[in-house]
Amino acid sequence: MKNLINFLISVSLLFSLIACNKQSSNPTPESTSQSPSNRPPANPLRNAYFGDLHLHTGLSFDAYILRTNTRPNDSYAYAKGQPVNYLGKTEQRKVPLDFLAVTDHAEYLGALPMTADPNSPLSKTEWAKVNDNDPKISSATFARITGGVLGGKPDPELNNPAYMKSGWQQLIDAAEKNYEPGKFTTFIGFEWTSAPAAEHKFPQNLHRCVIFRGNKVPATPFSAFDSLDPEQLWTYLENARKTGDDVIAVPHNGNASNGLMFDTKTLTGKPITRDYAERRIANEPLVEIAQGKGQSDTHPLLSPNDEFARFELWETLVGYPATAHFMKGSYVRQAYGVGQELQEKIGANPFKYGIEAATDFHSGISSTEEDNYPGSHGNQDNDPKVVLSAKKSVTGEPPIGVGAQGLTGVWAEENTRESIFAGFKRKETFGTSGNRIQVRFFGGWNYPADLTKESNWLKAAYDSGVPMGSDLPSAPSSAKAPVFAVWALKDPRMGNLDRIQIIKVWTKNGKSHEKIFDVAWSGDRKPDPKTGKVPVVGNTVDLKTATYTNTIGATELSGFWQDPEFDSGSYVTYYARVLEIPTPRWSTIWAVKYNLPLNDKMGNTIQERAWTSPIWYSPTQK
Amino acid sequence: MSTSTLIQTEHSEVAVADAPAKARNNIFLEIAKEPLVHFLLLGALILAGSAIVSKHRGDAARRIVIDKNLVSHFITLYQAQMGTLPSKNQLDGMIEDYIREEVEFREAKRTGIDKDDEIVRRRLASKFDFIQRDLLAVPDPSAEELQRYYANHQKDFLKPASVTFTHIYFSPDHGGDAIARSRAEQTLIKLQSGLATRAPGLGDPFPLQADYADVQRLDLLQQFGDSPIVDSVFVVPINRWAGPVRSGYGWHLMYVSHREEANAPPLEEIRDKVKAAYIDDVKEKANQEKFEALEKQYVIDRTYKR
Repeated sequence: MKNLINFLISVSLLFSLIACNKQSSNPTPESTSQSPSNRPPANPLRNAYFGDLHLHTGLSFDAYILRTNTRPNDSYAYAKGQPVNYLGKTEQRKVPLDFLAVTDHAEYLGALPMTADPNSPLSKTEWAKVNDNDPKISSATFARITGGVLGGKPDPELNNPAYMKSGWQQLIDAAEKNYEPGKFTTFIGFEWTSAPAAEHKFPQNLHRCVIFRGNKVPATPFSAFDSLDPEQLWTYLENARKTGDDVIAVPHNGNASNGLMFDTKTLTGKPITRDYAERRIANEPLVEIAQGKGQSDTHPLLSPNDEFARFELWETLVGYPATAHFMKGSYVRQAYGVGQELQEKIGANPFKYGIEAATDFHSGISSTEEDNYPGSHGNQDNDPKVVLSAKKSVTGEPPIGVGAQGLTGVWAEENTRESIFAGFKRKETFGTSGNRIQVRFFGGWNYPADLTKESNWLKAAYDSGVPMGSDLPSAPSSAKAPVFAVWALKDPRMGNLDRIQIIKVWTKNGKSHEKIFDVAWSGDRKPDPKTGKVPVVGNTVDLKTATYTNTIGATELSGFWQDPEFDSGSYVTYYARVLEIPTPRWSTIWAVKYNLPLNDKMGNTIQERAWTSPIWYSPTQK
Repeated sequence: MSTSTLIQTEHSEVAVADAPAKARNNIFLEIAKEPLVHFLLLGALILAGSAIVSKHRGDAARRIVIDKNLVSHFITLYQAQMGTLPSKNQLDGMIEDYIREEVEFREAKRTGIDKDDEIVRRRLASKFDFIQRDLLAVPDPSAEELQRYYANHQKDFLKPASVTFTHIYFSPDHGGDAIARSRAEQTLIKLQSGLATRAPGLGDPFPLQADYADVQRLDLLQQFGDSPIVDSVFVVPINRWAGPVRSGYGWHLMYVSHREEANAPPLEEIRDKVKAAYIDDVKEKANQEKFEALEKQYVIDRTYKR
């Protein structure tokens, strides 16, 4: 009998090791069921597809502890427009997404749900106390678990490769099962949760989401327990490409990095070299400019002349109630300048990032619709009374600080992994604060001023210039300054458009500057003759009913702009920003819906927006 | 201390990958791409492995031996799964895990917690279930079998209702919402006395598509937002102009030329999907039958019911 048990245990152990292989050797029916002929035809001029590349379910240690009940299959169902149970209530998107990657934390991936599984030894450990109904007991356990992750010190019981494999397999299986080429695209991914501690032990956010192009993925994710250093993550990505599918990493929350995200030194304190810069931007073509925990475009103190900079600011660290340093190394717009300064010195720009946006919600559902936001961090923000009055939460800022944002837009020929991932690599992407605003941005040297008025203008724009995410082509000798075409279409269920702006960041002799130009706007507003700025669009929001009207703003905007201050000796980053008219923030909608007092910590109205990937100019490309 | 020194010396010899070993590895990987071969190979590995592991467990109660055979086994297992040799660190990790588990396993057995323990019972039961599950290699169904299966399960494969229409767009950007609507109404009157079945040029340029073929409700939500036009195109009379109706962009006239109720597509279109469902179904039934056969060998005495 002893021998039998012995034998069975050893066999079971080996089976658990190969279980993944057995499952993944079966072809997934859905991925092969639709032949290309069933798909909508590919559009060579590309469509805008919207999705979320950063979402957590109960497989993530923190989301689990916050009582999030969803799993990856639920996330895909919700993104496809199906009803899903979240914390006991039925939630459904009004308008489905086009793609989604579920990116649970690699650290303790899939382990915490085991604490509630009587079949798992973890259920008999002290970690099972996270399930305790007494919040004192469960939150003390939470603090210990989170502390271990933030400190990069794994607990051996939780950090069991068998649990991680099982969690990873669940992510893979759900992505494979829900992929419908031509209709809905899924990506296999995970989050690498590196947050090196500063001198006072607080976490500095360097997190990256890792997104695979296909299903040939490594046997395990790469976690912060493997290394806190992004250079080690890049090695993992480079190795993964050698044996499987292409893959990218997307850094997020520079705003909560304490200046570390866009530092001019490496994590090990060395000056950035050309090799580091090229490796970084090859592995990380995109950066997440906005998400639930704030935007990382810019801060009002960094961009004092940008009257729209005060938007969804998240100023604390993540999971720690201290304010983050941000005057250097935290925001993308500043990093565009710093990257060019480095380019002048070392010959490569480590921060030549394209733009995306995502949710980072820990609810398992990408609920970015402002009027359809049920909270996003489990039991931390689902009680309206608490949410509208709480002064703090485990995430750092109080729950009202979380924004119902954002989404990634990508220009791609069709809704498939290959086409959309190619869009990421081309950086033909934009980020939105959660809405489906479509925006085009092209640059060149000889577009006609009425380009966007022509019926076949997109073809001309691609043929004689470049789309967002590209370097400007070489300038013809006759050209004085680059010209840009912009076009935007509103989200059909949201507010009208206020304006399109081009943000210019230029660098010469180690000094960088930024300037914002209004390029297209609604109505017959006249720019101020002194400042060149177009006056505010107005505000139709009724705070008593949390409603607005589309009697101001435009459905569609387009424009043409030639840089009036172009200096061919400067490095320049140009990107476009689209603003909607003011609409009520979700917190205002909640206050009205639940008959609670307004809380204007984040403003009662917001101007939703989109940011495009830049178009770059370099003096060496002349 | 001396044990760990021994381990390090031994496995550093084993882990050095020379060129011929790499070549063998490649051939191995080629073969391993065949799922059946893959599975059988792993089955063989497991049997070999379990023999190795149980031999080691048979040693004296307080001695844990890590010899070359065992280390080679770890490496083979790693190779089979990952397709590469383990690094030194990874191998060290596997060995340390083995030692830890072996110590804990023996201690657990010494204290007798394997007897009548709920976790051990359930794990054994679930692993037994796993081992004997899905062993049946389901042959591809014949055309008739598949057809019959599909006929009985059509509700699982329904294609949602779809609609084909063209529309004319009137943008509020030119003079406001009321004017756009009245332009649409006037255009409708003209169209009703004509023969046109497509006329996007009578309105404003629509930035997306003028014509939609065979689109479903969810597609339309993405195109127009959750606005009245999304439902209207599914209810207005066919083959005549209707509207104006609101979308998230403004006002529209629409001409619906074709609609299809939710329906089961021809089997040919979704053969792979149906086949996969069929195979899952057969496997699940086989699993259940196998369990019932086992269960029949027991007398289940439900004394609580007396």
